[in-house]
Amino acid sequence: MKLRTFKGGIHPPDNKHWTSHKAIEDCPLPDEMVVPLSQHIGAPSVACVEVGQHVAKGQEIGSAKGFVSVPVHASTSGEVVAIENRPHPFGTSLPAVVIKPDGEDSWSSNLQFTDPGSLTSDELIEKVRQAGVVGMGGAAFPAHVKMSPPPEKPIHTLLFNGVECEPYLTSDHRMMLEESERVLQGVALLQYVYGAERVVIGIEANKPDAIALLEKQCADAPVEILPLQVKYPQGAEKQLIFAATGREVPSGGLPMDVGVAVHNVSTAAAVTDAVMLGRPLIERVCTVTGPAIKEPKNLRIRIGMPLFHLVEVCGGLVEEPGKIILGGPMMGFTQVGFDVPVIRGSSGLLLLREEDIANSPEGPCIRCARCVQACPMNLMPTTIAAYARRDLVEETEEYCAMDCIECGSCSYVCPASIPLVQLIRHGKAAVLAKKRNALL
Amino acid sequence: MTKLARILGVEAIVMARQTAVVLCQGDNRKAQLKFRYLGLEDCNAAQRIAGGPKACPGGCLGLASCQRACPFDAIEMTADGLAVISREKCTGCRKCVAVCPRNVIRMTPYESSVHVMCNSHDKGAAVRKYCQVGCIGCHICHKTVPEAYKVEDFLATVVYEQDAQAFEAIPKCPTKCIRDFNEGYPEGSTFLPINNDKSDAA
Repeated sequence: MKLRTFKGGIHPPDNKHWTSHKAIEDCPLPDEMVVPLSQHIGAPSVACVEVGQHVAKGQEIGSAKGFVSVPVHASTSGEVVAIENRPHPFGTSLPAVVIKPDGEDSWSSNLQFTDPGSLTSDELIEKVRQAGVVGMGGAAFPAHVKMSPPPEKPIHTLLFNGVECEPYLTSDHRMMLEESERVLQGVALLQYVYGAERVVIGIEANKPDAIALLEKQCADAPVEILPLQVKYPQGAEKQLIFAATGREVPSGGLPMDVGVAVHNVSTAAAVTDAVMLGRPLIERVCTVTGPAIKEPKNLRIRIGMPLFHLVEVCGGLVEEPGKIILGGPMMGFTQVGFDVPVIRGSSGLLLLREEDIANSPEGPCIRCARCVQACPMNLMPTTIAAYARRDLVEETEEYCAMDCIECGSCSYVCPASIPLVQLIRHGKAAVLAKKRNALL
Repeated sequence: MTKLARILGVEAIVMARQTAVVLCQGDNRKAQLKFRYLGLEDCNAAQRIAGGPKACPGGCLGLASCQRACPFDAIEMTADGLAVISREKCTGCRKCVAVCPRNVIRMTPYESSVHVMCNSHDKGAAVRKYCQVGCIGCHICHKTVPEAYKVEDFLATVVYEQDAQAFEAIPKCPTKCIRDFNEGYPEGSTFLPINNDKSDAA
């Protein structure tokens, strides 16, 4: 049977064998946790505790600022030893609350079990907001904002992203296998809010065990399990929407414009914790993997654990890494060192050796059009990059640079090693700067 | 000139001649990197990646965006990755200033040849760690010639309106951070100062 898919895309080696069979392991607490106040799309939170204060696990330590923002919580109980700028995964130093764990790891007392049947849709969304739930696929968009589409954009299809197309990463896979109840409860809760006509969980066909398990568990439920062709970036929102519904999100638009909402399966599990147990989002599964780490694992980590701690828990390094990536090899953030903490969107920590890094010098474009074939958004990366390089901002915008999802398929296939994504990002920045200057 | 200004519909302002200067001498051998940058050879693109590969937040990145922006071929890159601007070729168009993400290129009076070659406001101890020739904010230049130097936020700058005696502080600077361009351009540069010795003209 032919599986659904999208146009374009690439087939990088999936490298999931390092960890796909390994059960999730709990990660012990480090000596110091650094919880950044900005881990999400939207305004950073504002610290609402003081140095010297004792905080309980799950206590709010940063309040949300505005609607597109979420609160930040203490990942364990302990003392606030500092509120200062600390190295952040995004590359600069940003404000963070530094906590010294007291070892008790005791939950904040005001958590209680709630029967979701007793809540209205709005109350449910508020619980999700209070728990700081953000998209766990990596983008970290506040879930409560996504759950509040305007009334003129009704959602008729609710999609769950169990695709995990990034090579090396297996955290969503293990969540679906080991915590399927939490995931499916979250699916039900989100369906309660959205009231969609169709609920689908999309899973790439390279996870037959997860597909079989969820099919069995959803046999009597109005939830469709949709196996998808294995291709990167099937897990990208717009590509998942196309494969599942045949609809294209319009240029510059959002999924709600075609009546769809997409949530990651781990986000669904986080919603369950938030709504039914009142637990804020303070932990997640992170795949620590790659040829430079001794014992690759799927670790259940707490937000704020420093990367060097994760490395230690995974047996240490095989050798000095050539690259440290928070996320997957296609769209992850390269890190300057191990001194940064994991944040809510950190689905993986990839350690590559020097020899694993491809470092060919850039050559001239030979107009082979491999990038055009690979682009899942039907763009022409070579042309956008050429305009961006020459700072021709109008043309960059005309050729739809803003529709680029920065998936990296073009850079991956380019035989001339042209840094296409970097050029397109450069172009996007120029387009945005021009728009901002026009408003001044 | 005022007639030309009238025709063009702009106001003609009398200004002393200005020239652009890259206030940095931290090339690959003197300044440290915080990571190896593999990507587009462009200063703005590099700056976007974790604030740029240089450990110093204010120093020249050496990826030649200014050289490419200059319409007058006034900028060269030394073999060790430092941008240097020819005082004679610079016409003061400011295109290099606009493109530099580090704000390390400044417009200075052409008559002023002495410059503090540093753009980092980090404390002295931090600067010492990542650069051999950075300004550590020790105030010695200011103590030597008070009217010619001001130190703000751990960085000294020449007060160009009163810099007649500024050259006296050059041998006193512990990191050799102050340069008189009349004596020579930064290490690795092929530019030569125009001989200001009037005795030759006679």
